Amino acid sequence: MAHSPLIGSILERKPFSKPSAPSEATTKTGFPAVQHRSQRAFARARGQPQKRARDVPVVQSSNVVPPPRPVSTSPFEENDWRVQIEEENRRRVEAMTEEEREQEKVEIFEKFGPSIAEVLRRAREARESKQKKSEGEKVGTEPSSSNTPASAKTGGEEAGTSLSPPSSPSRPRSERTRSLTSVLRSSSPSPTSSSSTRPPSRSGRKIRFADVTPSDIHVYESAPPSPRKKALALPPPSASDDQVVSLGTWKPPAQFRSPVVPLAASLEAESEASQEVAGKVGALEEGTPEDIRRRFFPTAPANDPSLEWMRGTGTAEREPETESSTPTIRFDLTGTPIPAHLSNSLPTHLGLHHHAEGSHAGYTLEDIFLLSRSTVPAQRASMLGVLAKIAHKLARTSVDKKKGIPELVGQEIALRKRLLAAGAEAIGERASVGARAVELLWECTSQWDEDLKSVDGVETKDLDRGEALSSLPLDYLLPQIANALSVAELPHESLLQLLAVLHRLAQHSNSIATEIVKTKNLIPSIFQRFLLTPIPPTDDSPFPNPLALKFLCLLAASSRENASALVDPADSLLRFVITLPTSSPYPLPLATQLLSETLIFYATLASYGFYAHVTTTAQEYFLQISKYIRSADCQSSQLRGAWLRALEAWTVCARDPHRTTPSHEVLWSQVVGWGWAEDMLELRIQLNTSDEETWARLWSALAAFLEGAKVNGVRGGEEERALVLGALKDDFAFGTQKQVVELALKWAREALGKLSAGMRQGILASDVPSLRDVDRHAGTLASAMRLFLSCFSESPGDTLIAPPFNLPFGDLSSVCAVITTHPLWTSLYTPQSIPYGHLLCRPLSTLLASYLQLSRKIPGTSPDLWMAQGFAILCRLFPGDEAVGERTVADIAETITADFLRARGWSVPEDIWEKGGMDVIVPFLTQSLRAKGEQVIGPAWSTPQSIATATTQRLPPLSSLQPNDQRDYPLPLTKDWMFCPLDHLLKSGESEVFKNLPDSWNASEAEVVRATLLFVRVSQEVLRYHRLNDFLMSREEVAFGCMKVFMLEHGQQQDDSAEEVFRDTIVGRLMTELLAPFSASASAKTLKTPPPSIHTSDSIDVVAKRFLGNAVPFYQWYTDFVGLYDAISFAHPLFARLLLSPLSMRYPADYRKYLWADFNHVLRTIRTAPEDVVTGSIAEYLWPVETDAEVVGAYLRALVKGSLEGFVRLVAVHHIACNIWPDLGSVGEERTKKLLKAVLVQGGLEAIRDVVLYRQNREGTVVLPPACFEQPGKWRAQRLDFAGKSGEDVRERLTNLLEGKAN
Amino acid sequence: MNAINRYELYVLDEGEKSVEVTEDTKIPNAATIKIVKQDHTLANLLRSQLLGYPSVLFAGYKAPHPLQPHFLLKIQTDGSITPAAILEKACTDLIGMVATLESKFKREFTMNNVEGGVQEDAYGVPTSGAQWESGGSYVDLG
Repeated sequence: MAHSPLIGSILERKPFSKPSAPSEATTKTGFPAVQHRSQRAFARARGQPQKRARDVPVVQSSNVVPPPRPVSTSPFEENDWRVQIEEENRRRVEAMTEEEREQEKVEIFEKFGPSIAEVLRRAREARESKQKKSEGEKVGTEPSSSNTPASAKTGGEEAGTSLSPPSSPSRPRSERTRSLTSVLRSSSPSPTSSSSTRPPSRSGRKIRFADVTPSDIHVYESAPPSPRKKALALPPPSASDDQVVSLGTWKPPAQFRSPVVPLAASLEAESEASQEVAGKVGALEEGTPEDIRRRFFPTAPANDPSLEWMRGTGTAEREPETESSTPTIRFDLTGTPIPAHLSNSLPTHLGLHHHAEGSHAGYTLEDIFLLSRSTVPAQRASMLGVLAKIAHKLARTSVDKKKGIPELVGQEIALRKRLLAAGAEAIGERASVGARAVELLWECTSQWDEDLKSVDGVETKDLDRGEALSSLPLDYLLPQIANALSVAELPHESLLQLLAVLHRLAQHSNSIATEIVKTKNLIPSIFQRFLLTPIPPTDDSPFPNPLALKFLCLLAASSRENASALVDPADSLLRFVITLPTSSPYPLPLATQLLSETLIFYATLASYGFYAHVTTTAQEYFLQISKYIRSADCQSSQLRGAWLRALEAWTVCARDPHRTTPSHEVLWSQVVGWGWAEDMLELRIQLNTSDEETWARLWSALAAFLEGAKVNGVRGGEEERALVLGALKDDFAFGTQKQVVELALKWAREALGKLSAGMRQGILASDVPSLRDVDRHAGTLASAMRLFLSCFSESPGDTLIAPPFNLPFGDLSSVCAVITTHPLWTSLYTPQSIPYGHLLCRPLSTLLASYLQLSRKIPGTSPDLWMAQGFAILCRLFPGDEAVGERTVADIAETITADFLRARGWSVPEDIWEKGGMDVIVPFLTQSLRAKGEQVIGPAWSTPQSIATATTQRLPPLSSLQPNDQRDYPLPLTKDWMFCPLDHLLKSGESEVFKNLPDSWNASEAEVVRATLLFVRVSQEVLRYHRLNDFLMSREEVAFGCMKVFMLEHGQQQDDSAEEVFRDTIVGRLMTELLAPFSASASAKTLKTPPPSIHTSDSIDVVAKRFLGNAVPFYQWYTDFVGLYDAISFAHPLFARLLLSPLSMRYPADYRKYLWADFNHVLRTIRTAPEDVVTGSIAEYLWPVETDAEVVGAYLRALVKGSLEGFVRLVAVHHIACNIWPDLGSVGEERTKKLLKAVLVQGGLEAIRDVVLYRQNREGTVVLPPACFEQPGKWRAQRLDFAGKSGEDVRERLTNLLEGKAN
Repeated sequence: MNAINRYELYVLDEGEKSVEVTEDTKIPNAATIKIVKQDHTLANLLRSQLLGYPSVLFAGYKAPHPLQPHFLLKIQTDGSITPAAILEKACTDLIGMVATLESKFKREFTMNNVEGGVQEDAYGVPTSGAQWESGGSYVDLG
């Protein structure tokens, strides 16, 4: 060059303050950087143009250890050299002569074309604006984003050829953004490249080289690779090693450090300029597709779609940015979610990149599900393993946020289904895939609800929200499991997991349990695998597993047919019985456990009356066991309990040999002969106060023996009683047993206190421990009472002369009172409650039931107190207690006699007693306590009846016991159950009772109704008298019950009103008495306004649902009711009162519309006075004001047309007045004027006067007519003003009314 | 089908009486009137007519079965008049009303022919007259 060019070559310059980091210069060395795979070398090669050859190598003195660069580089530092260049250029230009400058200009224009000045100016502007911006925002700027214009300047010579108009419209936007990003990226230092920078070699300096430098290791630590892999890498240099030269500190790529002003946003914001610059730079880079095209294929069209793939990375690379805003969770191989910021930076050798979207480490759920169906077994197995771990975490998400995966909250149910499906699909595979599939199933079933493991007495269907378990393809799954168990290829752990899965499935529902039993070869395999292990055990054979016995118990408890299917294989379990635990080949604890589980299994079979013959066939062994248990060698309370339980079950079987299946399997004489009772009494010596549960079992078993002796023993079992009493009486008075009872009472009270303190919305999982405590003590107390009761001889009407032994009666009754009225019974059904709460309440209802029997024997209990207790406790019984319930109901009905009522001063017409009194309805009452379906649930204490009839020993799920549904199980009873004879009359076609009535029964409908209403009335009276207010029926329940009486006439053909039941004087009187406490006149509270916003009792449509079911809405019932009133009522006053119930503003407008609009003509026959309305709040009918135009129109029509009277008139006037007058809350629209005119034009004098003068309080007390028409006040003038607005004539008409009376 | 013959809906059987009044034994001044071979058309008309009298305390009917052409009308009065008498009165009034209606209709119809018609809207309602005074007995506030 003859003269120094204006644009010169670039020389090395000294940095002002800080040397640029080596990473900065990585790709400028002239050598290809060593690139780690995680940097997506290929993608980079395409996306990032090579810049080598053009950059001056950065020479760095090695004795200057560069300080670690701050994370975000300030643009000032970047600009140091640029300022320097600028300064230099300026000086040079200044030094030139005028001609020289002119010549240079021409030269440049020649080279670059006339627009170069414009281009450069714009580039400069862009740079400046960008700089300003980055200064202002201080976001981690891309170091080279301000760098690029400079390179445009410096590289201008070469670029000249390819310089294109930057804002050419032909360049699509994606191209521009691509090149921008690629530029941005190119500048971000790659983690590994720092090592490739060749350091200056100086003698005497040791430099350590490694392919993977120590700093690389630091990067990946957040997701630890396997320990083995870590050992491969060099450890980081120790701080003391001063021989080490740092090669710089690794910085994560800028876009991960801080999300560089979201790219999209900056693109929008940063004006054309920056894009142009970027576009220009992109074009300047060598090796880009565009560059190649221009150079070598100038004729080819730009943006050829068939060459799209060449720049395809542009969009792909943008994904991380968009994704980081909405992260999908990625999991590593341990099922742990990888944080979003790490998933981009993790290296690929961890094995986390084997999925379609290659740039992120870790697998999304979808990836895992996809790979879990892989045909490569290893892959499939590992993915199933990941799923299992995810399932483990997922199950704990709702409980514990830390252990779980909070990102997936709310999706647990849907995912559980999918997880189960994935596991079930792979269950048939062999080897590790099968094992992992089993593990996955295990995590999704038995491990999912851990707190459920000991809940065997109830079907847990409700716990399975979203029906994940019911969705399992059992007809496929179970044979596979059977196969897996019989082949036993899988490791023993997997087989155990399979057992646990089966256990959980059997817990789910009885029908699944039945399917399990029916599955071919499944039960035999379980026996083979877990129970019939070789004796003596060899080294490699597993021990028998007590869990399998538990599982068998569960199956047996689930249904009668399952139990009978298990009777045959039960023989093989005798192997655990014939050797005593002490001489067993197994370790003592295991042998003891096996023996006790076997005994419990036998007891479960005996609760259906099965397999009792084992007592005969294995009698020597049982004698041996009994001896062992009585000896001091036996320390296991579990074994004692199991033994006593089995004895109790067999004793019950022996009581009536015809009830067992097959009959006569065990005989009473044998029971006596074996001396079980003596054995049991002897066992007592071994027990002390801490063996509470064993005591309970012992008492219960002894009671069963005494109950049997009453039937089978000589002279009603007198000797046996004497024997037992002789042994126990003193102990109950002074000894251990007294203490046991007292302690149980004390602890029960404490635990109950704890429960009621925390219980608000429902029985939560945290309440379970205290509830279990209460259960245990309640069980003890109940057993003690059972024993006490069994010591009575069976002569009827025999009250206590002298108690057989002492029990603390006072304390017992107070505890029972606390339990009966405890809030836990109502909170049982709230949606927050655990779905097996009723199982935990079962011992309590057993306690209450036995207390009820005890209470009858205590001399201090008056018949009415006992009756009140009976009515209360009946509401606390659960399915399985039907027998107790029936007996109680029959006893109560027996107690209600003419004498009983006369003694209490209640006069009841003799007619009722002449027709047989309560006997008329007893068949209905007892029948309605029996289950409607085929399921008969065994009671907690089996009886000879139950062992013959019970079909299952497990409680149904809670959802089938909801009080407000129509249910198959009559228990637990609702408070209005006493109306049930009416239900049978109303549904006489389908009622079972009528088919089974005794021949002597010949009562008429009216007599049944009379007796029912009397029964209801008595129940309410005694409950109220004894302050058991919780058990009183609500207003809605009584109202609906009375509606049933009227509805008996619905659809009847007779046309004589004399036959109508509701006209019967006694029926009418009883109904009036029942409704009296619920009428408005009963309490001054009913006049309060505003009406209560929260209703403590169920609304009438909810109450009706119990009877009507889901198919018939209450509205339909109400329309029938109104229709009946219209047809036959002759304006019966009580009928009319009941019509008004659902008309309050609490209920939807449809009811009001129906009566007021569709049956407008009947309203004049409803002459109910406001005091007689069956309601808790008159205000409920008045506020809020009716807004439904149709109903208001109907009010108006009824008011102007007919002579409305009483309450209906008040309602009509109120709502019309409130819709007209502003002082009552009307907003004064056009409609109100229209309404006012309509009243004035159509209404009679009375109607107009009432509407105009009506005044009501919004708060305080409701004013009833006539007072509501006579209130003085300013409002009269206001109303007159308001009326004046709708016309002078209106004002005139109202002047007299409003002013005449005001003074 | 189980529908009865069409003619049985209006032809009396042999010896059947079309109206049968049963005095109620339990309720004072009440009666159940069985009217055969009639349906809701008459029953509804009678009931609304009856409910218009102040001396009627209750009037209602039921058609026990849709396939049996009879209905039961229940009337209770305040004692100033017997149910049977008030039913008779109701019938007389109804007949009168129908006769008036008929004659009015005929007159209007002939006048319409003579004069060439008054101004009517599409439904035959004269368009003159105030809305409220001539309107229905109540307002539809919808």
